[in-house]
Amino acid sequence: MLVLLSRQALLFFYVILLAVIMLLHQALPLWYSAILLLLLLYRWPLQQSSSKVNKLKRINIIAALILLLLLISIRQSGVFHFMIQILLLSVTCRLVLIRQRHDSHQLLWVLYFLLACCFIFYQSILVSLLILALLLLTLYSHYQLYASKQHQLQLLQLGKAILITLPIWISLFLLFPRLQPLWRIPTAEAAVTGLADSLDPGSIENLVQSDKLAFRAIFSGSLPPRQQLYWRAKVYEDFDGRSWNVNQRFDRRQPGSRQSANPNIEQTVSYQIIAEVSNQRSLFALGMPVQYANSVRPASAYLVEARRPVSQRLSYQLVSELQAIPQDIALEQQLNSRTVSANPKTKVLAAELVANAGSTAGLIEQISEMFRQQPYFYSLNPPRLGDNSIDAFLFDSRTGFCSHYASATAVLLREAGVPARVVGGYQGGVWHEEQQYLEVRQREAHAWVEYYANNGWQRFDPTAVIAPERVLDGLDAALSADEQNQLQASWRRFSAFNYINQQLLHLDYYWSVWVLGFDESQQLNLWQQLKAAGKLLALLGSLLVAALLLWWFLRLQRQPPKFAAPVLLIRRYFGKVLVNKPAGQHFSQFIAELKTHNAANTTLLGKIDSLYQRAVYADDQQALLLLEQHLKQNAKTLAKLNWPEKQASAR
Amino acid sequence: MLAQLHQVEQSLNQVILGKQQQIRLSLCCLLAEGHLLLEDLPGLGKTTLAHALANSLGLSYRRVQFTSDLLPADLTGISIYDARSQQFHFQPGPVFSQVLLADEINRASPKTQSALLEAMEERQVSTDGETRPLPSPFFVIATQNPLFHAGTSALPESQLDRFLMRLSLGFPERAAEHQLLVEDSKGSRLQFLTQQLDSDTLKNLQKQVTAVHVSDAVIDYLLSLVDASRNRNDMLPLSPRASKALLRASKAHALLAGRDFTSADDVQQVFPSVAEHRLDPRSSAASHSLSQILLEQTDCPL
Repeated sequence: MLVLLSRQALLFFYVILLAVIMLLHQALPLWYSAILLLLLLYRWPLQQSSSKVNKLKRINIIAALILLLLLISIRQSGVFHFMIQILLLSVTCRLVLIRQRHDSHQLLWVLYFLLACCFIFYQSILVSLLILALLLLTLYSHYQLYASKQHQLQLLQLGKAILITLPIWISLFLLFPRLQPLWRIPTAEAAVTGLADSLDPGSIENLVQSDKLAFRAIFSGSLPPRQQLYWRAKVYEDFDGRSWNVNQRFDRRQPGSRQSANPNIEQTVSYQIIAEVSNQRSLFALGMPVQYANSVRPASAYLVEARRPVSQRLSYQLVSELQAIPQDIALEQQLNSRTVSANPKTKVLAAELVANAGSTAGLIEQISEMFRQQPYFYSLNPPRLGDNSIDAFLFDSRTGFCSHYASATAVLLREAGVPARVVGGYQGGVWHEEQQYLEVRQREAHAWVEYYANNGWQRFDPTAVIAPERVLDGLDAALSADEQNQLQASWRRFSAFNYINQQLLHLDYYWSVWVLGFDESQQLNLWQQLKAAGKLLALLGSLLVAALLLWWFLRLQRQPPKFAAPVLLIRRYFGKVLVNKPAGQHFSQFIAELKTHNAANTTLLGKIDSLYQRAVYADDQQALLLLEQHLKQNAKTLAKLNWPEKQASAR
Repeated sequence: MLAQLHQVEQSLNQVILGKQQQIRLSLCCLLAEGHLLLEDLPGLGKTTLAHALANSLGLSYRRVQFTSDLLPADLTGISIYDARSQQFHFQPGPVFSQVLLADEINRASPKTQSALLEAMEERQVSTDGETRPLPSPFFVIATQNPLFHAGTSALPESQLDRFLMRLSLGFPERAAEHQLLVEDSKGSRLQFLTQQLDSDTLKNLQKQVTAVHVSDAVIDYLLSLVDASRNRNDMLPLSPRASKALLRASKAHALLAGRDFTSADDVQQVFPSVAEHRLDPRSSAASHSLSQILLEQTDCPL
């Protein structure tokens, strides 16, 4: 049947498709999004001109050209993105040509699929709600296509339907097996966030300006004191006179065995971390991790890394000992004693300090003393430094951020013959008492020093010396009012916005813990719990089934059978062709029409018709029996009855 | 007996050429003991059909030409003072016959039209405080011109409802009209009417109509048709009287088709002529638009 699409349906399709293009923009090159939009706009000039065949030809040519372009750029975009691009191309072309209801089937199903694809790129609660809304809009327009004009959408009915299906949604979410190759979300190329593999003077200052979440931590015990909250993420061992870098060879080598010699129960901390998307592997851990969750693995220098770059929220469980980091491999001391020829003044200073100090501890004391006594300043906006950056900092500017102090201290130590390295990570965080989690943002980024003494890498944070408030009370306390303003986005100054933002963050936290964090192991747990309560559940289940059966039975009793027996028989055996019967036509009339299309079976049909008439109109039991017999005997013939398929659409 | 009926039908078809369906329906109407309304443009043969029907049933009939000055008493009769016996004698009007042919019924004043009402429904006439029963059987076969014609006053809904069926003959086919013109010289077409029923046969047949079997399924279908008219605002709802009429007409149709059970087809065949004038009193008899809508949109599960 030819049913033209209404303007409203078209508008809905446009809105949904535009939203999907926006949501999937990560998979699309900019030029491709532009082409899709132009193609959508092309509908109007196209509709005014030319015949259907012409239009189809034109669109096919355009689509072929675009496909060629996509194929050329497949190397840049990757197969996965290519698939999404093709789907979008097909939907767009279909939408440009679409006029009838009949055409919108594939369109709708591909739209459903594309909406599901959006979850690959976004898992946050707000975008999920948006996708859900789009899904509902698609469903609504799907419904509108087939609803009669007078029929109004009944909200009560709709609510009922949703309520009935809700247990199915939930049990699908809880019980559907997370099949690994299917469940994994493909990693996409995306911008890396968080600490980089290279630490310049100035890179942490930039990072601190960002308000973005880095990770959240939930402690199984009580919160350790703030001075212990040093989240290690990267270890920088190569110094080129200006910036610190992660040693690539070191990074790739196998970490040593992870057996804690004397597990010190009192000093262990057990915690869960929900890491935000960073698109790099390095993760965060306190002190020396001793127990790892499956999703992460130990890395060199007692760091923790993910098995794949973190392209979606990752939750992992760790147990750490808050103590000095043991030596990972033998080469480490040697590697961290290398010096470079730059910064001559610093070399001299180091020599002086060594001469005055007797031991390594004395040396550390001397350096602290120096930062404390002499006019050194802590600032978010230190002056730019030249090539001999350490000299310039220690002797000229004397103003710096954590990375300046860490890097200067590490160089001083190395020149004095003590193995030392710079560690990058996060310090502190915002504790939410009510929700019981620690929120660590990029602004908590920090750098400190580890030096080797007493058979372990000891932590020394020069920032704690120059600005102890930074460690004890957070970054804001250590900064001047101007600098604090610099850090705060202008809208964050309004407390109402701030409040809403904070609530949304909490919501997001619950979302990530309860929905996104529900993985295989959680599912296994649930199964085990279910098994434990098995008997009770079986009882409840059988009661439910019994109640349903009773209800069904009562309903059946109350309602008289809807159709007479002969009618039911006919429906069973003529099921397929009977679809073509117009509502107002009675069966005998339909049979007459059927005879014209099935010349071979005229007698059979005639016989059935006369028996049927006697059975249904004269309530003739004999005829009913005969009819049933006849239908049974000729079931195969009846199943093959012809009905001209195209008759309807040709009209 | 049924064979006799079919012979009558055939000879009626000789009188009115090429209108098999309308003739069958009109016979249905009379077998179902219902009054018949024929609506057409002048000259299409409605009066001929009315005469032929009355003749073929073998009943006594009187014809009244309705005009705007026709008075109720002209129909029902008046009491006349007899000087000899010094008493009033009731002189029965044309209503006191087995078939009343009411020609151009919509030319009469509403007062006269409604005088027919009692006669049609109650089959009795009350004059001078006395109620007199009408002969049995009693039929009214009325003809009328379409409403837009000059000098017509529409029959009220209440009276239309009392006609079981409203039929329209319409123009004859070219071949039928050709035959009509060829045989024109032979005189009135009523001479082709060779077969008649006697009144006993008619009574028997009418009894048989009531005995025709109707299954629950058919009644359900009929009710869903009637029900459909009650849930719409573009037509008048069908009354229970209408559904009774529909059932009787369907049974008669089944009998005429030689069956002893009523089928959905019978219901569908008689539905337009039974329902259309009740769904929209102002419609013309030639169009069946509303009843067609109902037939098409009501699901027939049979």
